[in-house]
Amino acid sequence: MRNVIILIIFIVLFACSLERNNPFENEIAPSAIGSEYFSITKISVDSIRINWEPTSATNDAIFADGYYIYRSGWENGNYSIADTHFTSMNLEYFDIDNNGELNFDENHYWYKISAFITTSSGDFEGYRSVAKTW
Amino acid sequence: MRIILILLLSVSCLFATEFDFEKIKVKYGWQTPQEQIIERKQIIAKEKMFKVYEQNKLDFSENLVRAVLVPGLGHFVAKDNANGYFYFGAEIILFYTSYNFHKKANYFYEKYQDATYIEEIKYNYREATKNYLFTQLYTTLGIGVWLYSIYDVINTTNHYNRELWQKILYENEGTKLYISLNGISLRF
Repeated sequence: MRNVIILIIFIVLFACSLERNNPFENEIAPSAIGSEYFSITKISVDSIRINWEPTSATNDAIFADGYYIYRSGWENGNYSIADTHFTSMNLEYFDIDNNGELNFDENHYWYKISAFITTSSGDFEGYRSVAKTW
Repeated sequence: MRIILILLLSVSCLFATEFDFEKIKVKYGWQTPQEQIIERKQIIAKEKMFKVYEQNKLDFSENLVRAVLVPGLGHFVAKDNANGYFYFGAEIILFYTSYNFHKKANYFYEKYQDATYIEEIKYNYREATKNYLFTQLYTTLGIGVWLYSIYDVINTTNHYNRELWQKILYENEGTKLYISLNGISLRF
């Protein structure tokens, strides 16, 4: 009886596993852009300039079809997309306070950048960079 | 035909011999006819007790089916309420926990399938796998406890029937003190 119970436990535990069926499962993810490869400069009270390099060191620039730029009010807070560049050629972003919502004098913002590749299943986003501020 | 039968019966009466106590007393160890009468009474009394036992005893297969259908039910019927509550409660807790982990696993697995960000893909798959493993673990435990309750109900039924026989003996044989797992009975 005890052996039967042990056998059933083994069958149930090892019989099933979850299938890896995410469409990007077989894609190579672009790695994170190193902090030394992107910089943030405060231009004025209402504008910030962020620029980065296609990091040949990580050779992800070869694969990148675009970039996501994320912004957050806190270093470890929730980051939301500030802009998306659908080209690998544009390596610069100006964060401009058009509506007076962002005040770069009073507030501090943190940015992250990630590269993505375009596949038949959609855009596949690679690892995000570490958070950086001016 | 009827006449022949009556004739045969009448003739057989002629050959009938008288009950010879002396002949059979050696076989059964009786010393006096009174001893024979006492033993006869005892046999009749045991027959009665056995009938009561047969009417009230629990059927193994029936109790097994009860335990298969509802964990703990076989124990309740066999008056083993503590184990009945334990098995029933354990099954509810284990299967409900398993169901909750399954729900969580599905939630993360759906998020994994829809994720487009590498970290989210990895995180959601890891969480789905973890919760799925817990689902399997609790389901296995649930099945294990359920199987054990079926196995245990055999012992419980056996014990119930033994207790029942002891109780019948106690009630019919004039024993004053009766000790069982359910308590001690003293008859005055």
